[in-house]
Amino acid sequence: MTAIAIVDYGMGNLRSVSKALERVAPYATVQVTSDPETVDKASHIVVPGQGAMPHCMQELDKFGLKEVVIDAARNKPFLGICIGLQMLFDESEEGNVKGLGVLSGKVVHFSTSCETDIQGGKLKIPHMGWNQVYQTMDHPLWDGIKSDARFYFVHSYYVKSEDPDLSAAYSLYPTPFTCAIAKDNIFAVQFHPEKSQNAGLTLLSNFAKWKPHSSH
Amino acid sequence: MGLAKRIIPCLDVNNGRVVKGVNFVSLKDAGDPVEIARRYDEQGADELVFLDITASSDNRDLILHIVEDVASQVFIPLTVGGGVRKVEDVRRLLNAGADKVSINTSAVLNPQLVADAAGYYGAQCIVVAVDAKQVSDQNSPIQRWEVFTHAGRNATGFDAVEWVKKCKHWVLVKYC
Repeated sequence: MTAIAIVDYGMGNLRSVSKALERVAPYATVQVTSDPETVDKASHIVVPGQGAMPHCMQELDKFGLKEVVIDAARNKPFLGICIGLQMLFDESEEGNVKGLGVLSGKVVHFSTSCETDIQGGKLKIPHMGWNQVYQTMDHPLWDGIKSDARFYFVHSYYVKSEDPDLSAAYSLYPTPFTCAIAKDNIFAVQFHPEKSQNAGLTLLSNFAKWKPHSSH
Repeated sequence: MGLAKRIIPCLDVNNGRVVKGVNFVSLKDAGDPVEIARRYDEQGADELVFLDITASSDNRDLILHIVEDVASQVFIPLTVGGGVRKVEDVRRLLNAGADKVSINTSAVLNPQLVADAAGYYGAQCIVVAVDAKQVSDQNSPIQRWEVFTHAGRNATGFDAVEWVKKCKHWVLVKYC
């Protein structure tokens, strides 16, 4: 029985994520929840998040969800979206806040790598709109998605990992940055699959079917 | 390659229906918002904008139900405007499934709303919409662009370009 828990810690709208999952996985139960026990019992975990990372970390702690999210990231099919990707790492430049430290690396601001766009103008931040995602590894979550498909992005920070094996895809803005990571049972993306039409729905459908342990 | 050029259909809503007018008057019924949103989505629209064009002039509340219905069926970014008067309204629309909230009349009447909403939710989700008309002052041949509120009904005296510069100044907060 597939039971997908979307972790709700009060940061932003989760309707699109839950409706998109209900659409692509009608056989699963999809729950938006703040209850650590429900998260603990679910078979699949989705951690979205928008807003400022320090505020997100604070709220996650306040809801008593930090431990159970770390635990899920180590044991269950785990999908991080946007801040849900960023918080897996050690720390973020945004407010110099500590992340969950499940993966090693740092979240940095676009302006630290590049300040100009391709035409030499000032780089617009946030990086916002539809950008191409170039896959760097075979992964069940990429099934049926072309390796240059466009996904919808809204963010000013991105992850910089010390482990090159983590990268599952990169995008160009204008320099390459990691926009998806994968390790064992974890898959996390900087873009918003729930706002990325067919490519996004395919990714969510793949996630709902994903059985990471049996594939190894 | 970088970011794609976006095609963004903008749907004017009046009394829960999509309408087509000319300069916001002589409105003709164009159909059900959810149905039309779904059709644009199938055709590959990159985003959708819904504006309740008479919310301010008719002093009506937000189109929350339409946003909820559309956001449950269409998985592309949605911008919603019309009758946004307080930061709480921004929250209600975002929770209903909007990704960006468009503010027009209230930005003129209460500029602090734009700064407060951008400060709290991030500049990425606050859009200031401007209706400008070309006007000329009495006894002057010079034409200028003036900002109008309430769906193009009320003149503000603001110069459109100056107004946009001011708005830009308020929304420098960036998140994620």
